[in-house]
Parts: sequence; structure tokens; C-alpha cells
Amino acid sequence: MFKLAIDVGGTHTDALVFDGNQGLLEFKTDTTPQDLRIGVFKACEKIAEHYGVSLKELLERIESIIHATTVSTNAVIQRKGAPVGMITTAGFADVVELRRGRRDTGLNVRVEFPRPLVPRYLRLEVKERMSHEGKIVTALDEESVRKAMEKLDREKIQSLAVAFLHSHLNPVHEKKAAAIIAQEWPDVEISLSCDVLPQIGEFERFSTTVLDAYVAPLVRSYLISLDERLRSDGFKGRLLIAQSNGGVATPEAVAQRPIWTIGSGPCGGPVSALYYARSVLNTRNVIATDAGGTSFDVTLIANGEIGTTTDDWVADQRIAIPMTRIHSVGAGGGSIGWIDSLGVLRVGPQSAGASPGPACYAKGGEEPTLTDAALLLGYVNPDYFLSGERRLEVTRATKAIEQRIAKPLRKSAVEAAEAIFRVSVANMSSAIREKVTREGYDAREFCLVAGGGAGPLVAAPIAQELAIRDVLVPNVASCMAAFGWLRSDIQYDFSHSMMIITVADPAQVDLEKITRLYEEMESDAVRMLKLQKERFDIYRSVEMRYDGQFRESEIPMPRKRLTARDLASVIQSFHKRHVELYTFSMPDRPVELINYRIKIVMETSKPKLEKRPVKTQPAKNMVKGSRNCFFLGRFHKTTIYDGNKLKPGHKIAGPAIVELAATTLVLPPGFKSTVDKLNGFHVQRR
Amino acid sequence: MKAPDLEPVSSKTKIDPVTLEVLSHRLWQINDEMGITLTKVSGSPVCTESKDFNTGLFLPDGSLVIVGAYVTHFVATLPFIIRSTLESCSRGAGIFEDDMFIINDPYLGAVHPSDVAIVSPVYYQGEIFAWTGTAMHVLDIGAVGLGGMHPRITEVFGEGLRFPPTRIVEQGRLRQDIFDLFLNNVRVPPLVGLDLKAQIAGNNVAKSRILDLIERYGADTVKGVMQAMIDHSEEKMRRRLGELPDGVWTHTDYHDHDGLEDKVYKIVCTMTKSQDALTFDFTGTDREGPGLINANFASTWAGLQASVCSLLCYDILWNQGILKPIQVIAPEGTVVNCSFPAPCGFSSIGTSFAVTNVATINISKMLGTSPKHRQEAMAGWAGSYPAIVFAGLNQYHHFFVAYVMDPTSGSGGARSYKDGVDTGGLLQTPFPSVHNVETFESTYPVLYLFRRELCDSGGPGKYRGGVSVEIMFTLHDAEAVKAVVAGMGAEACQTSGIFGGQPGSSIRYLLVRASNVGEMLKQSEFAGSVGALEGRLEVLAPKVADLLIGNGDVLYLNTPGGGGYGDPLERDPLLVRHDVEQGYVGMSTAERIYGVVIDPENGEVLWDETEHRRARIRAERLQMKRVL
Repeated sequence: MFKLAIDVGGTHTDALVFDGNQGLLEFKTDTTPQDLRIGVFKACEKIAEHYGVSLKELLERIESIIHATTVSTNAVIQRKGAPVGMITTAGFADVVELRRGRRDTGLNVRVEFPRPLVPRYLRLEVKERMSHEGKIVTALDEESVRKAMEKLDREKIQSLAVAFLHSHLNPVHEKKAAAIIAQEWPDVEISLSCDVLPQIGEFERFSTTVLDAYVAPLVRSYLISLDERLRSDGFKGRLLIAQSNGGVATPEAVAQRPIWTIGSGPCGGPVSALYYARSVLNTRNVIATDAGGTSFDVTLIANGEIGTTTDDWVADQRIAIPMTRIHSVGAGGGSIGWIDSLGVLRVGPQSAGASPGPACYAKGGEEPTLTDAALLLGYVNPDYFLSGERRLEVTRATKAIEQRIAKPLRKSAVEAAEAIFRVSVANMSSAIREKVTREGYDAREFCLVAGGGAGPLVAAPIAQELAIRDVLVPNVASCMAAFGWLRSDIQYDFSHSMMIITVADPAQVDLEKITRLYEEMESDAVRMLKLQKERFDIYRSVEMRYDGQFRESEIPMPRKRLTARDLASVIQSFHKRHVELYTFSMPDRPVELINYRIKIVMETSKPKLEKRPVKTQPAKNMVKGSRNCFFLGRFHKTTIYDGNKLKPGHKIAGPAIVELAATTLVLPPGFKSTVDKLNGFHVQRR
Repeated sequence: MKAPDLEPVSSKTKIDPVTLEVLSHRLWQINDEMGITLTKVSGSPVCTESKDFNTGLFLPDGSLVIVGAYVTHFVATLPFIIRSTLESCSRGAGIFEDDMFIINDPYLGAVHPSDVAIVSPVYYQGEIFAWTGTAMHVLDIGAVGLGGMHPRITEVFGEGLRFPPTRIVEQGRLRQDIFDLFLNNVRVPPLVGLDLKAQIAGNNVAKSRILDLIERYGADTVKGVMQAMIDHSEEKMRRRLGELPDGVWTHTDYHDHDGLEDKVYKIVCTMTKSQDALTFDFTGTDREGPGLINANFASTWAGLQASVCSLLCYDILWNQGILKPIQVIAPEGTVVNCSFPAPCGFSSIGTSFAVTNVATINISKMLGTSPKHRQEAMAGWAGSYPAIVFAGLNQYHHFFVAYVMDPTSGSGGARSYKDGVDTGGLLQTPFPSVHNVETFESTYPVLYLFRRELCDSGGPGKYRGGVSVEIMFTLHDAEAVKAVVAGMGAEACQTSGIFGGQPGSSIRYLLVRASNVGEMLKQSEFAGSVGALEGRLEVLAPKVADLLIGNGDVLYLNTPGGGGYGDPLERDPLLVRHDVEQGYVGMSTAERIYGVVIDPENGEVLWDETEHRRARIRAERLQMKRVL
């Protein structure tokens, strides 16, 4: 039986097959932006062709397909979602427009600001009001709901966000309004804020609800047609959809919360990185990186936890569901080197992208990029880029670097290329350092996992810059996300900020109330997800802070009837966490419990990479040749290895280059590498 | 937060460009981390939401190397504060390794007593290598007035505790006595205690990071980078000034009501640009007054930074380098440089905002005369901050002090090519956030009736100023609260338009006493405006001390809109139509000011009528007499 992951990226649709016999096989087709499904089926056809079977025969043999789609992310970025309207509490139609003040647009006050996805004339108010305790202050005026809906219907909205103040505490008005609309306007799709994000904070809740409404019709129709077509072509297995929390979900669950797919694209990467680091080095402290053409993604994994954040934006819209905490900066193989008005060398954030691409692609690009620099430095083989699928032109790269960088800096072309390379490494290292120090950790205590087409080029120097000892370059480096999805569990996150409880003395707290809240959340979730026979685990946690603070830390909560002793130990963990983060704690100060979270996890069967016997041996026979590569100001004769032939246990000493199918590993002088038991590379200082 | 474009390589330095790029980013991160620590530890929405704080790294002499993108006031005041510390302590108690000093005296560099700074020397091999510093608007400072503002106080002595540079951390250990002395004098000791702890934690974090950096790169390199960053900003600032035409520009703003008397004070600023230097001369500005009206010298410098940073240095790293080409002439004894012991509790959001207003218009006029930079001219942003601070017992029977921070929503000035941003924030602070109504209501005993964008608040122009916000609330679960109202620009409009654009709306505080709001809420009647309520309407002065708000009273407030750019008669009628449809401009304003006539039936522009109407307005203008 096969397991298949299909990851739709900006340029390529990656399909990764796990067939038990040959292990992992990677297939790439072009992404088809006009209809992403076309690319998905092309990938399937390519696989069928490889195995010499028909598409039907292939699909019949597939046990599960895990699919990461950008359909919702693209809709938001390109503002091509459904025509959406909003019904809200009288007096508060502007919540999504006010966006709690300005957002992070840099220091330039002339930068454009986000526009809400629902324009003002489609945000209509109805008479109703809840108090901060969830008590009805003004009963819902049902006629005003009908009136608002009549207008929205005339404006031909397709999807509707219903978001009332304090509805996370008492959803009756939202539910009632939804019932009226569902009854009288059955064609309109409805997203309720009390369902999408029952959490205190109207801007975040309303904005997230509007996003859900905005993408819902597209996501639903995409999933239905994909599923139908797969079934009619013979697929009998299970389809799972990637979510931004790093887990996968059933199409039925995603149809209920389409927003769970927004930004899911890169979230599989950290899952692979953690798996690799655990399997190879038995470590749970990992910095997962993915360097593609335009962006460099960093995820910090401390103690085996891939963190999520609820404090994020997608395009220019605030989204507050838990999303994998990926820090992304504009740095990658296509990043352009340039000289600013005062003669300073900069690299990025502009990228030459896939078109025109780096100068050496000879597709009309004239700007020097990191890829051009790597070519000049001898790191990249012009005849074996993407296994020879694209020939690179050294003269074009040289010309671009000479004219744009070398001349103004009064350096030789190759020196200028090294400067571009070093600045890129510095930018990427900064991105990692920023991420790690912000979370209060020391990068030296982590292992770096380098993924993405450009990742293995820069991994060793980044590790040097950050004084990181161990670097892993997995053999699936170029399709990290897809591999991660193959190993992801089904995972659902729910949260509720039903009540704020201030705790001075755990013995004085109504513990039953907290236990009951968790139990209700769990039974609601089980009902929504229609879980019956399946085995699943539930994890509880609580977000807490010191009385009066405004930022919370998430602390695990035992899944049982809560006792005062349990609560005391949760509070102890919080104090400890506060010290880790901010250098001090305040044990005498009351704490507040704000948000209650549950996570439902169903394990999936995961493909394991074959652990091969490790036989320590020199890699002499795997040498392809040698060429001059530029390191630290001069050329070194550098051995070139055929990465496809290397076996576990092979040892390589820098300076060396390992040419892999879709990427190149660079080992500068002073570095060494061993092929690990999963056929990836473990790189260290010598 | 992202780093701005750091461009640290100056032609003057010998530091390797790559090292420079790497280290300047690293210093930015260190400073950023200090700011993040503040927001995470502090318990005050003034810090965590409004971001009324800033952090900086400095050379041993107090020259600013890097500052966060938070309240721009502190760009100018933090260097003053470190220099005061150096002066006062080198004369007296000395400065030792791992000391930290607390300062909030407005006559020693603070903006006003509520802005408490903590600064710390970073020692390396027995010498001061650098300084770190934070400043934060604390929730209360033990003044007569709540939150440090009281309209009827006539001397700084009534405006709370004033610390000269005082050692709050002595060689690494917290001086509990000083800490307790501080908290013993404020209304909400636990929260102010968190604010101080946050600042100490921030300084500690930055110090250890700088020492790591020295360890890794060597002291000379780090020092060289810090100096190069300043040189580079100066070079870039001077080059930018050099590109602009020389000239003299004057603008006047008015600050109404000094807290005791309904009297208008004039702030006059003459800006002279000569080659690569800029002088702001406030000669002609009115004398200082009693009450909530004055700005100390540091605050005037601070007010200028909002305009200078935003309009001239949006792509230059803010540090001492951008301050060097600027000279400020502010005659002593005026409202822009009050003399001891004049009160200055309102200097943060009072006259210093007026300083920002005049500087913005002067700089924009200058930009408007430059062929290269013409596009960058813009009208005034929200020209005042109508504050309300209130206190009492909340719904949980705890004492509280609350700031209504809705004015932070601000409004953008119209640009030379586009409308100002609706509720686009303030020039004075790039990254604030306004509290959620839900959080506010669950913390303080109020119920908001609305919070929304205000129709017709944006200054009319070819490009319209951004609209502002209006709010109305009533008490909920409380009998009464005591409040201080402190604003300006109720009678004199403060947000100027430019090049024919008209000013944004003025501010307004209204109070409906003993209203029927409770009844309306129960009856499902929407209290959508002051006019919808029954009760006794009071139009409040922009500064009121000891205002008592009782159950059933309803308070209304609107903030100032952004100024317009260019003649409103030149505005594309279709844009006016769009604004009317969206509810940003009323039908009558469309006709009266924009000269655009819209069919009330179908909402379409009546083109012929519009042409006639515009011709008539132009003719009327020619008949107008100039009134002085």
C-alpha cells in the first residue's frame, strides 16, 4: 500500500510517495495557479507512469493521501475570496477597520495600510448586547437581523460572518441570528465568531471569523470536487488535509473550519526536521530551517514542541487561530545583491524569484543573486543544477556580479561573490538569532536542520556564525514539508476564554468549574468532529499570566478532575516559565487563568525511513571529481561527491561539495560530515 | 518588529562592511528584545497596548546609538536623561558596575513625571562601555491628579514624585528601600511595581547581550560599529537636508484652555533650512501659564522628533546622528520651554503635540517646494490626544486607575497622492495598539455604546484626511467613578490641512447626565448618538479636574481627524461619492465643501449640478474678505 503527500507550493507541486519497497520517491510538477487540482492530478499521473500503472490502478493502491493546499492562503493574498458580508453588534461595525491601531508596517508612515476583507457598507449592525459576564443587556432584535440580511442579499454576498461582542461568553444571540438566516437564506454560508474562535478580544475574533467566511466557499468546493474526482478515479483510502497548526485533518472537519488551512504550506517542514533530529541525534532541541528561492523559514523546536502562535497575520489580515510559529524573512537562493546609496552591500529582501530568476538562469535576469554567487564560488555545478534539469551560465553570473557589486566595492568578482554569500549567511543567522533569543533560548543548545533547495549551501557557515555544533541535512531536504505531512498526526485545536479566574490561593478556586469547562469543550469538539470509534488523545493547557499583566504563557494542565494540588503545580510551572522567559518570577503575586485550550490528537501510521546499517568508511569511491572552490578569501581544491551514491557511515572532510538530486551540500574547510543512518548528512566542525 | 533599513557603513569608518551589517542588525535585535521584555512583563495597558515607552542603547557619553520604534518622544529625551545622570552622579555618588538609575524629573530630561526612565551603564574592563536605557509612562505617579495630570495644579510639586538620578539597583542588587519608597507614593503600587520590574529586566537583558557581543567580536569592533551607526545616520540626514531647498517656513498652532482658564495659547515655529542644517525657532510663542499647558524643553525636542523621524528619517536609523543637524531655539519661560517650577504634567500629549503639528506642516511645506521630494509632503496627523483617566472601584470591588486609550487610533494626514489613513494612528508612535472593548469592559466598570469611525472628521481636500474615532460609554456595575479630562483642540482645530486642504475635526467631550441609557438598552433601542439620549447634556471643557461620572451618565468623546491635502474642489467627485456611500463624508459636506451634488435617490453624482456648485463656491471665495 502507498502513502502519498501532495504539497502545493508557489512554483512546484511536490508529491512524495512512500511505498514501503523503494522508500520515498519524490515527483515534482508545475503548480497550476488557475486550478490547483490540475497540478495535483498531473503529479498523480506522473507517479502512475513511474510505476507503469494506470491512474486508477495507482489510486486504488493508495491507503492515504495527505494534501497541503494553498487554496485559502492564495485567496487571501490575492483577495480572491468569496463576496462576504458581516453582521455585528450595533455600534461596532468598524472593529475590523479600526484594527486596534496601526500594525507593523515599518517606520515609513507612507506605507499602505491593510484594508478589511468586508467593506464598510457590507458590515451591518443589529440590535443586541451582552455584558462582559455574558449576561444579556439588550435582547437580540430579530427583525434587525432580517433587515440587515435583506440588504446583504441584495448586495449578493455568498458568505457571512456573524460576530457579536462577548459572544465567546454567551453565544445565544449569534446562534439565534444564524438560525434565522439559515432558515430564510439557505444559500448563504455562515461563520460564527463563537465557533471559529471563542476567545476574548473582539478584533482578533472578528477578523479571524471574517477570514473564515472569506475562504469558506472556496475551500469547501475545492475539497468536495477533489474528493469526488479522486473517488471516481478509484481512490478508496483516506484523504487528509494539512492545517496551519502542523497537524492534518479530515476534509469534513476542514469543511467546518476552512480557516484551519490558511498558511498551512510550510508547516510540514518542522515536523520532518524534528523527526530527523530525533532519529539521528536523539535530540529534541531543533532549529528547523527551510531556504527556498525567496524566503528563509525558521522554526524553533524546544524540547520536542513545535510551538504555535496565535499572534499572526496572513497577508494583511489578523488571524488568531494557533499557527505553527514560523519566522520568515526575505532571504533565499534568488535574493538579489545590491549596493545602497552609501556604498553598502545588501542582499535581499527582493528576490529574482523563478522568473526572471538568477542571472545564471539566462532567462533575462540581470541582478546578481545568492545562486549566482554560489556558482562563481564553485559551490554549484552549472551542469548538475536540479540534476541537470537547468543549465546555469557562469558568464552571465560573473557579468552581473562584476558590474553591480565588484566594481563599486573595488573587489574582484569572486571576492564580491563571497561578500554576497557572507551577507546572506549573516541575514539568515540574524533571522535565527532573532527568533531564538526572542523566545529566550540559546542557539548553541540546538541542532540545526537545513531544508530547502538553498539550505544545504549555507547550513555550515550559519552554524559557525551561531556556534551551533550539529547540523543535519536530511536526504529529503528539498521536500521537507511534504515529508512532514506524511508523518503528521491528525490534530485539532480548540480554545475558550469563558472566564478569567484570579488565583491567590488554589484552595479557594472553584475547581469543579474549570474541570467542567474542559469537559464541555471536549464533548463539543468530539461532537463537531463526529469522533466515535477512533482512538484519540486529548491534551489540556491553560494560558496564564500574573494578575494585571497583558501577555500570557501557555502551561499544560492535567486531564483529570482538577485538585487544588494540581492547580498549585500548574502555577509552579508558570513561575518557572516566567523565569525562563524574563529572568524573574513573582511567587507572591496572584495569577490569572485566561484561555483554556484542548488539543485532540489521533496518531496516524507514519512511514519510517529505513535505518541502514552504518559502516564507517571513507567515501573515496563516491568522488565525482574536484574543482576549485573559493573559501575565506582564496581558492581551495575541493573534492566533489556524488550524493546519490553515498551510504550511511561514509565520511567526508571539508573542503568538499556533495551534489544531491535537488540541492548541493557545501562543506567549507574545517567542517566534516558523516552520512547518517537515514542517508542524510550530519555536519560538524572538525 | 522588523528592523528598518540599517545602512551602517559610512565612508568615514574602517569597519569591514560585512561585520558592520551583521553587528548593526544584532544591536537592533538587542534593543528590540529589551522592548519586548517591557511589553511582556509590564501590567499596564499604557505600555503593553499603547506602547508608550521606548528603549535605547547609547555611547558612554549618552549619545543615542539605536532606539526602538515606539514613542518617538524618547528619541530626544533618553540622551538628555543619561547626560543628567552622568552630570549629577559624577559630582556626587558615583556610577558603578551593575548600577541602575531611575529618573523622572522633567527638568532633568523626562517628558513629564509619569515617564519614568531607568538607565544602566554597561561596564567592560572597569570602564563604561555603553549605556542601556528604558523609559515608560507608568500608570500613576502619586500626583494630585490621576495619572499625573491635574488641570488646576500650578506647580510641578503637585505633579507627583520627582526622582533625580537615583540608584534603584546598586551593583546588581535591587534597592528595596527606593523601590518601596516609589510604590508607597502611587495609587496602584502592584502595577507600577511591575512597570519598574519590567524596565529593570529589560536593561538586564540588553546588558548581558552587549557583553556577549563584546566577547564574540571584541570591544573595539563593537564600539566602532556603534560610532559608525551614528555617523551613518548623520551623513544620510545631512545629505537629505542638502537635497532640499533652503528657506524659511512658519506655522502657528493654538492650544486651548490651560486648566484654570479658557484661554488660547499660541505656538509659533519658524523653521529655517540652510544647507544641511535645520533650525526650529519658537520665538513668538506665548508665555508659560498655570495648569496643564506647558512643555519643558525636553518635551519640545521630543515633539519635534515625531515629525522629523516620520517625515525625514523614515529610512534612516533613528539615533544621535539625526539629532545633530537640528537646532532648537525655545525662549525660556514660554509654553515650549517652561521654567522651574511651572507644571508640565501634560507636556507629553499637550503642547508637545502642538510642536509636532507646527513642525509637520513646516517640514511638509519644505518638501512641497522640492521637485525631488514633493511627493512626500503630507498634511497634519491627529493633532491632539483627548485623554480621559478615571479611577474608582471596579466591578470586582478593587481600586483601579484606567486610561481610555481610544485616541491612540489617531488619523493619518492626507498625502500628496492619496487620502490619509482612516484611524491611521499617531505620528508620535509607530506601533501602538488600542485595547479591545471586551478586555476593557471585563477589567473596568464600563459599557461601550459604540466605538466607530466618525463621519466628516477627515479634513476635506483634494485628498481627504483620515477619519478619526468616536466612542460613547456608560458605567456598568459601578455607582460612580472620578475622572480627569485632559485634551486640547476642542475650540481651536489643531490638525492642519496643507496646500489648500482643510483641517481635520476638532475634539469633543460631551456628558449626558442622568440619561435614560439603561432603559434604552433594555428596550432594544440603540443609543447610537448623544442626540438619541434623554438627559442633561454638558459640553465639557477640554480640561476638567475631578469630574464625577455617575450611574446613568453617558460620556462621549471624539478624537481629531487628519488634515486634508489640496483644494477640496479639486477632489474627484467619484471619490466623494464613494466616501458618502461608505459613510465617511456626509451628503451636506459633499455639497457644501466639496461642491459635489449627489442624487439622494440613487447615490450617483449629478455632474452638471456639481460643476455649477463648484463654480459658485469659487465665485464666493473671491468675494470673501480676509478676516484677521
